[in-house]
Amino acid sequence: MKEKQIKEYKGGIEARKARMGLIFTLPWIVGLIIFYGYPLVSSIYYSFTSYSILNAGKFIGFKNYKDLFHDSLFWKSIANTLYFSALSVPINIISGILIALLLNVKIKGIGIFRTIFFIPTLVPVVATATVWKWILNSNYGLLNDILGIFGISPIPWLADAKWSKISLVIIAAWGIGQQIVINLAGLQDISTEYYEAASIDGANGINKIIHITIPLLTPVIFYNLVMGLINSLQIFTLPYALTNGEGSPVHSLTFYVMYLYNNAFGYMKMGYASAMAWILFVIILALTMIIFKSSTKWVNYQ
Amino acid sequence: MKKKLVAALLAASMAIGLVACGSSSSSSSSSESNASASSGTSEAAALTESTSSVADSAAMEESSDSEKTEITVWHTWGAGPGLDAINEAVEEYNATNDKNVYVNINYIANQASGNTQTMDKLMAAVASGNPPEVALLDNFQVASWAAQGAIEPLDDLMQQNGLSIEGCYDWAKTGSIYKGDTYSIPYNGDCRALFYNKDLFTAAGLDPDDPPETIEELEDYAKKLTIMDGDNYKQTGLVPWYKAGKPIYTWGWAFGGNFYDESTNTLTLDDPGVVEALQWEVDFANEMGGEKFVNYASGLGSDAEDPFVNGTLAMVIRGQFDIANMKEYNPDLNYGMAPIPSKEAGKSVSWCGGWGWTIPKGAKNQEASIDFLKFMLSKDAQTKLISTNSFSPVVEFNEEMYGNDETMKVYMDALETAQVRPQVPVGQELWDGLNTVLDSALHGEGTPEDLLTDLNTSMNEKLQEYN
Repeated sequence: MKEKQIKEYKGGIEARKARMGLIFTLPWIVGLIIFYGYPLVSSIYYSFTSYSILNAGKFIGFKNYKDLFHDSLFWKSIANTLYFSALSVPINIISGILIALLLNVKIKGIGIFRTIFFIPTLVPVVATATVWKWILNSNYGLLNDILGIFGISPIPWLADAKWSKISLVIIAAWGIGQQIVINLAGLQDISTEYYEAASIDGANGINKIIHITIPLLTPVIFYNLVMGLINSLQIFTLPYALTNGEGSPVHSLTFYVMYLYNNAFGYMKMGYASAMAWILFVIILALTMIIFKSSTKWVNYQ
Repeated sequence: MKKKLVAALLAASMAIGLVACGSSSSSSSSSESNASASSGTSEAAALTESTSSVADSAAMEESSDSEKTEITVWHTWGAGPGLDAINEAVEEYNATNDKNVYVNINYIANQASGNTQTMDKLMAAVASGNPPEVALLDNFQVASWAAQGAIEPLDDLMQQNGLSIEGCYDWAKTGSIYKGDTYSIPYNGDCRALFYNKDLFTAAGLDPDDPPETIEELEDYAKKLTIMDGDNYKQTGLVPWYKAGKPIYTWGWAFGGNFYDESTNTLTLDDPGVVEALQWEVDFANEMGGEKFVNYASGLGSDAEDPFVNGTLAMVIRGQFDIANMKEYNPDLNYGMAPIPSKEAGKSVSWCGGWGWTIPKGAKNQEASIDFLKFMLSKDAQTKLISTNSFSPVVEFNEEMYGNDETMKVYMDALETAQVRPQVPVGQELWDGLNTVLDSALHGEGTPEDLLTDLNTSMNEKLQEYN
């Protein structure tokens, strides 16, 4: 009898706590539903219409999707985006780890070095694009001037379709400060006991990095891989600012979200753009699931 | 210690942000790409705010006796003479109009890219059913907005209020009409010509008072004006697709081509004249060094790095809106302006872009708005608005302003016969598509004929959806 009362009493407290919790999180939940949930769901509907923002449009079934499959620029933008991601994500992860390892060394003034590597991430992307446009200019750019000292003839960085995506990878690698910080946190999380034990067993520095640091850093690498992939598949501001939204030369810098944006706000084809958004969602979902599935094989937790 | 570091970083980022916003140059009159258009936004917004608050207090004093009809007007002129002129005109209207109307003028930034001139904010405002009373649109977009039913046809209102656009140039009238109805009241216009460097002409042994008149002469001059420094271009005579030469329209019309058949409402991008023009651009590039020349051209800078301004490019097609630029960056530049050379002698043709006032669907106070627009097209307002930044759409006012100015004669002639981009609801897509065709042709990704034919087919398909 008494026990039951206590139980009920406890249950009442739990319920009250849950209620209060709900009330306090309500503003956020309502915001999420109204400003994320509703547009998300309605964009599914819009992807089946000729909606133009200005005009509700008509229901046209799968026409947007069918048209997309016949749109050569749609395929080109997918190819560009995957190509860029396949280059940029691994390069950023590897250089992010290497730099983090260097910045983890205990020397005087290491804080200054860490700051230097983080600063580029603070520069607004549009400013980054403008500065790099000058650095990479094929006629009077700084980089070609420097290469010229070593006798290398000018490279048409942003002028030639063969070089433009590589240029973008270079620019994107400039902003890996965020990854470095996360890697640093991961490095400092690795218990020193492992290193001590390895030292006693006679392991050298390289051995320690390969057999202790990298395996124990895999949870962080996993996080960076997933986030890096999602971000690079959605790359927009950098190429848009770099090319005035044209994706020139010859659409080599027209990325998926750029083309989506131009369709939605330039050509007033919001229905078409909604269809594109859902296709991108499916692509990202599939790739993320593959990475998650594979993670059991290579991610080690301490 | 860590907090300090974070604070320092934040401060640094803010400083960088400020620097990034510091440079400003906006010209909303041209449709040519302008990378820096977005950077002027915040500064210009601040400017507008301050001017409108001054106007506000002035209005408060006047409106004490009776209720004023307030209309909100959106325009796209960032900081600069364009903004000053429009504010001056509006102030006068607010002070003198007899309809008790008060105009609240607002600068609304264009989409950041110079490539697309859509006002995203206007789109959202119309969609939400709460648009401004009046909005300024680029005339090659008027058809798109009209086809979406997003702006009002104005003929009835114009007739009732005695507003007519009859005194305007043909290009301004054509640019205001879609399917027989008037949708916009012309505000200004811009026009293109051949700019050439007289000193470089003299140095190359050419007569600085005899600019090329035909394409053949132009090509001949361009070669004579090109100076190589080993493998590099020390000076070039002409880059056909630089500045206002970029739109294929410029050369297509110069070769006698046509882009649009109004009677059948079809685009004719595969017109022999247009194909010939693009082929000429490709051939010209090949003669000048092919890929190397194309890459060199795409690295050409702007403002102080502008090759025409710093004297490393002898000839270029550009608009009158660039005259101010020249004055700012190199006031000593000794240059002349001439009609755009044409395939056939004496058949020079330029083209005009321009902006017009529109009334969004569902806007309130339409009578008051029309009264304001009538004022904006009047001599009183237009004389304030005319500058080398833009011409008046009204024939009479330009002639009064520039009729005796020898250097402007080239424009006075061109404005009379100038072409205007096709009034089709796919104007923006067509513009981007033509740029892509040029880009592809120059990089050897297809022949001009194939590229233009393909674009023509797909654009006409899209156009059919609006019929």
